Amino acid sequence: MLPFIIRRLLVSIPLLAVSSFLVFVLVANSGDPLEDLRLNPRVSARVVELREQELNLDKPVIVRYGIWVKDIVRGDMGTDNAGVPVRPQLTRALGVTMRLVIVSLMIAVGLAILVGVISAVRQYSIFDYSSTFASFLFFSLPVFWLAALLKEFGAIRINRLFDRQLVYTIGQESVDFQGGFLARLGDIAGHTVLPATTLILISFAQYSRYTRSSMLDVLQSDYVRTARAKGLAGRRVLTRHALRNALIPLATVVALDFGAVIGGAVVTERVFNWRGMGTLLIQGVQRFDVNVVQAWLLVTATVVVIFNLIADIAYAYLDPRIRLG
Amino acid sequence: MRSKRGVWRLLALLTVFSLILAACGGDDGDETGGGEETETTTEDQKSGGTVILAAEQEPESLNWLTSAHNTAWGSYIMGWVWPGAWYADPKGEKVQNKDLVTSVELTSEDPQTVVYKINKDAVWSDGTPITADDFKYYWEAQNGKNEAYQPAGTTGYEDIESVEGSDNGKTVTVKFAKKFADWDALFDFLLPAHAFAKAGGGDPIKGFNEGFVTETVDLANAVSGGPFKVTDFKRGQSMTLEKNEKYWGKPAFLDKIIIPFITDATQQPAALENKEADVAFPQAQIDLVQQVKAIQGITSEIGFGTFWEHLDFNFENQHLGVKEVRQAVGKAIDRQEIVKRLPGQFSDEAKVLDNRIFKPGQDAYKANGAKEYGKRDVAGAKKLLEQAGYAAGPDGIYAKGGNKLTLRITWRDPNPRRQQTAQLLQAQLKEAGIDAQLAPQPSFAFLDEGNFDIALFGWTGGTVLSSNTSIYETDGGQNHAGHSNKQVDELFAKANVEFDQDEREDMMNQIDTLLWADLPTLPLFQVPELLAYRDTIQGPKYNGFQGPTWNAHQWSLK
Repeated sequence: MLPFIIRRLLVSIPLLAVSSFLVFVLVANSGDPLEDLRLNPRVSARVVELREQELNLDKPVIVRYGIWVKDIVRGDMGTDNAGVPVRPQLTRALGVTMRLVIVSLMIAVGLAILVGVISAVRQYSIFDYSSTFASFLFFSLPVFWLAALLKEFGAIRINRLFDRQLVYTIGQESVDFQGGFLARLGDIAGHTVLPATTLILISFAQYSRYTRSSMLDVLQSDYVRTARAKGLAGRRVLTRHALRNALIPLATVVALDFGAVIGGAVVTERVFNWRGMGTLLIQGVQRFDVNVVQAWLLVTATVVVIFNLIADIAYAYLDPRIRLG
Repeated sequence: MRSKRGVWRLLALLTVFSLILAACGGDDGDETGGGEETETTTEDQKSGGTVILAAEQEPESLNWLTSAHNTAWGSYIMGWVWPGAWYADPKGEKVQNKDLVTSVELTSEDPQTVVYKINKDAVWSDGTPITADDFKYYWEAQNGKNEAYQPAGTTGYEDIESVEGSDNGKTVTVKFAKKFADWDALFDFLLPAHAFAKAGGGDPIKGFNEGFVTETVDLANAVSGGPFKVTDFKRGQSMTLEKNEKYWGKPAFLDKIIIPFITDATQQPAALENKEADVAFPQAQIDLVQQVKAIQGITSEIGFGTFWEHLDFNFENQHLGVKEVRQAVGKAIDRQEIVKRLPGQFSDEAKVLDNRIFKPGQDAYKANGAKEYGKRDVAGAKKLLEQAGYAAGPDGIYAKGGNKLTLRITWRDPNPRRQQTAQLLQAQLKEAGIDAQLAPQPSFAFLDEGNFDIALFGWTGGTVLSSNTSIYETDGGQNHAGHSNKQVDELFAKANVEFDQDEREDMMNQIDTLLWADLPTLPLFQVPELLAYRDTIQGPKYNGFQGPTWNAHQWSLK
């Protein structure tokens, strides 16, 4: 196991290097960060020149990349085009995204396993048909439309119904919150419920389909039939043998998905004004801000690599061996 | 079977729940919004309360006067924390901030000298008196003499020779090295020099450039000289302004203004409706405007501000270098139609813009373009082309000496409004025998490069009249058309040192009239802006010159 892990980690270093170079060149060449400044009649050419020097725009791309590498190996993420340090922005954005994504994924996976297993076990029942319908529905809904619907029915109307601010549409917490710990928890929950629901509905749809089909596969397999023939209780067969194997594809998908989603659920974040990794990336790209995009890339790429590794390890761990029950 | 009954029970619950929701939606007849607008004097206004103002940009620095951090919302938010000698009212007239400066006087025209008298009681919120040192710092940071400062602009301040204090620092004498007619537009804000020095670790230059970057700012340094002070700044979320208890002047009515950063304008209507924002000033888009109008309890105002769209004709183009061709283009275009289809969608009050210097609503506005270009005249356009030696070809397109009259319309992509404008122009020009091609560019480089025939873009006007010079004078930095008129140059030279405001405005209108005759550029329309606020708030009013918070110190809850 250990040599396997080490080998994988070693391979990812050149991977990170190449991807960071490609992205750097791409962002650096996609536009001029000082364009607005140049257009502004009140700003003198000398000021523009000085800003250019500050941002190293007068140097060739390779040199700029070299400067970035030199800084990053010391842990210095640099400053963005406006001179604001990148590290605190990244840390904050990561925190925001993690908060949303971890909660949502946990609930989505739990729900998906439940629904997927029941669907598979009670195949072609009303439950199966309705959950299939629901899954396809949520999977096909455009995120921003779902979000708008949720804002209207999940927040505005509910608040009107109860004549209190229960559910919020903007931000992670109330701006001017005063109150005890429990009240604060309630406030955070009120802010998290809509964006989490959006993410959950869409992820759950995907995962429950995986669970269902892989569960169906497993339930048809020989060893399950053998276990039943040996007289094991139905539920024991399900939980100790079938489920564990059925979860393998799901584990792989979730692990890979986590890597993707830590890059920021861009649309959800934008619609609910959660300034997380997705927003950071979009802003970085729009402003042609190399340091920001590179920092984002490092985090996301590292997470993807690690979670790929975890998926492989989990797969090895879950490899089916029937234990004598 | 057990599971079947469970399913039906669940269905029943869901039905009941959705019926409840449906009953609560729909007509809310018991909303109490929509009472009559009563004109109250400020004496009747109630003190206290909190207003939530949604900001579309998050300032990167509390000091928005640097070239790196120059955002509109920076000035909107800090305008009443660091106010200066004046602010603009909705008509663009300068209102003296009498709390700060008891008098402002041009005491001598030659050498130009302006004397400000600071209120004896004026203090920053940490107790330090406001003095000429603060004026001096404001000047030094923006005069362009010290390269280390990175101001967003130096206009006017670069013409000042010295700023001296006397009378315990309460009298400020500003001497100009070069005459600057827009002297009354200077010192529109004031920065606390001592706090900036402290924020820069003792270096006032560092303080200016970096000391108030919101990621790292120490709010204790953000001392206030106005009715509000900054009490909180949560990066990525919001900031808070509270009433400045140390303000010596007329206090604000509100206790607090909370400013969440809702950077996606399309999310602001839902925030207004869900009471997560009370006032909003999002970029006006037609769907957004309609959404906001539909919210009960919210009043929305469409205003036409200082950002205006126009066409620039490249004099290097063989066709557009000829005056008759430009005039023909001007006559062939139906500006009324463009206004109706674009800004007219937002408000019936959208008008064609007939003046390059002033805006409708300003006293000095004269519709100088209305006479010749007020109404579309295709026949007149064709006649002008024929006068210039062009003849219509079999496809209806004019040509001269074998060169077809083909012109590219260029704008910076992506911009749906400009794309629509260009498409309308193309159709209109075709009817007059001019072949217009759409040629958008991915960046504004085309302006400096001269890589365009007809350029479609915008300028931001304002109260500093002399900033128009570089757009229209010979070889001016913003004169992308490449136009040159000696009379215009002379008038600018005179107007920029003319202290009589009426005379000056008259000269500006003369310049505009000459520009209408030469037609190097063709003004189209002002871009509409939206201000939305809750009915329970008294005071918010659209101001294209100063922004939505221009009178935030006079806002109150009803």
